[in-house]
Amino acid sequence: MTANSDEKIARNEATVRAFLKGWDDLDVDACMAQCTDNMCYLNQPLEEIRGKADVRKMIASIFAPAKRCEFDLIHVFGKGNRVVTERLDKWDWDGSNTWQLKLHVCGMFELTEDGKIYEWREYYDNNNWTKDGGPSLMLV
Amino acid sequence: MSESETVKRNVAIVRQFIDAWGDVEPDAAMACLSDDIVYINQPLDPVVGQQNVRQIVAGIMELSMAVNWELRNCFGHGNTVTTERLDYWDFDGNGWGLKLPCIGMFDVNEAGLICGWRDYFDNKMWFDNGGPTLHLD
Repeated sequence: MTANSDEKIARNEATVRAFLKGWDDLDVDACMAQCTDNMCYLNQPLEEIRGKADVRKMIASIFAPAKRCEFDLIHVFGKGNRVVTERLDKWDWDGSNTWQLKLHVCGMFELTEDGKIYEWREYYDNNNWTKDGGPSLMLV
Repeated sequence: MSESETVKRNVAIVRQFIDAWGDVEPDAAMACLSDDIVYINQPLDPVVGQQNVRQIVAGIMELSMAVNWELRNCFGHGNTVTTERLDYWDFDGNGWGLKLPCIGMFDVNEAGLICGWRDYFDNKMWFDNGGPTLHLD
């Protein structure tokens, strides 16, 4: 592996970590700053959400009912233009300072040559999300 | 063994495991797993040990006419390998009744056997489309 590709992977991992830090901070601007204009967000097995405006709207609507969230990063590593994240996403919806939802999830990120996220595919159990207070993941 | 050699070995055992699914061959699949294998279909309970995991794996294969796990991405780091997949299942001989998007994370031990296997997918999609039980009886 060349130093160049190592550097690119490290840069991509840093971008993905910055994106996920945006979630911990419930800061949609910080999230979107890491994404391309034609960004695609796919919650398997739901419909994909395409374009920065719609992805922003979706993320903001997830943040709206959340008092706090924290993403535990179990694994983060990349190859080429891709980075995988294995996570435990913890959510507090009611402000009781407990995690009412703990979601086991893997997210695969694809990045452009200049290091922006253009595709994000999330794999998780959707019932696990909805039954413990997760809001709709479909744009209305 | 250098880190890149270890990763290459780990990716190879995971690919071998996935090929065993395509062959619907429980012995070949189980040969890739350690005695203390921990298998988790998130968010279900872990299934631990060769005997218990064989029961689940063989149980699924017994009800499968054909299987093909299409690998979209497969790469490793350290002791871990990720597989982003579209798993094709034929449970009734009438073609691919289920195409399940999935990510599997695999941990590989020093001896080069898979000791951790965590699959992330939508359980409703699995069970609504003929997927057999993922629980021990």
